[in-house]
Amino acid sequence: MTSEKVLEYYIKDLEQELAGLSVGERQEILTEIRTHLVEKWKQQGDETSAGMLNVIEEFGDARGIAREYTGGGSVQKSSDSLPSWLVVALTVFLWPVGIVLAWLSSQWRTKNKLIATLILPVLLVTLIVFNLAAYSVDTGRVTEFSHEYSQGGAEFEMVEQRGPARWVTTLASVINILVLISLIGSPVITGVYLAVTKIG
Amino acid sequence: MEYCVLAVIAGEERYGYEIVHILQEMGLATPEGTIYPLLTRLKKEGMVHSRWIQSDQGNPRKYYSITEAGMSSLREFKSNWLQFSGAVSKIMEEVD
Repeated sequence: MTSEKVLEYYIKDLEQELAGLSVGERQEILTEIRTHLVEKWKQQGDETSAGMLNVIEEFGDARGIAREYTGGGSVQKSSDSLPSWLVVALTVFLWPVGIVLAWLSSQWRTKNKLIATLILPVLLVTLIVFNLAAYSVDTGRVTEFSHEYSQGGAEFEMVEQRGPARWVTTLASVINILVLISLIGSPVITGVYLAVTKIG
Repeated sequence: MEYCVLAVIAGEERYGYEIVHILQEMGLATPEGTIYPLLTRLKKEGMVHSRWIQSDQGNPRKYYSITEAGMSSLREFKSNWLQFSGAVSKIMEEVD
């Protein structure tokens, strides 16, 4: 994920938390905070998405900042009334719904929401890339050798195929199965991650 | 904290990131994000003015300057603070 995406997620999060303010007021706040985050990100010398995450982490939780703007009277949203265990359970059984609710909720930091969202796609991409690589190895290196020989007056032709070593294909299969299991279990992994990283 | 922010902009117009940076350099560790709501509140109370200026880097910066009311409030705080901190210092001198 690019640093711009990370920044946009945070700004979006903050915008939702400031929903009770007027559009003009909200846009002014968001522009000012965006300038701060970009400026610090450029000056700290780590112009990566991880660097942007650090800058955001130091800046503070979107909900806490929104509360400061609204004088402690937080802008209540329907998702805030949802208990965290329900969001976690929905993530496990209905992954997209759970992730959307986690984003709408202020019970997790933006960084944790990002990581929770990325677990499944990263595993999926890993599986696809790994399979593509394994396929290219399997099809690219197979070579056929034919040998003719005679036995008891009859002539035979033996065709031998040489490909990658057996241990390579076995290891590839094992990794493939592990990634596949992780992918299938990723909603559970994500749910556990959300349960562990809940604020408070 | 609001008086520290007012003191930082008392002599010169400054923007948010600059104010946060100065406060941190002076050892006033405060969550960065809380300074902006504070500045907004000070503006609503008439303690500061603000205006947008386009920076050389292309980002718009919101510059803050202190108002007469802000300066008057800051002077009053300074007087009380010096009196209070002076009294505390005298008491602390008694401690070994």
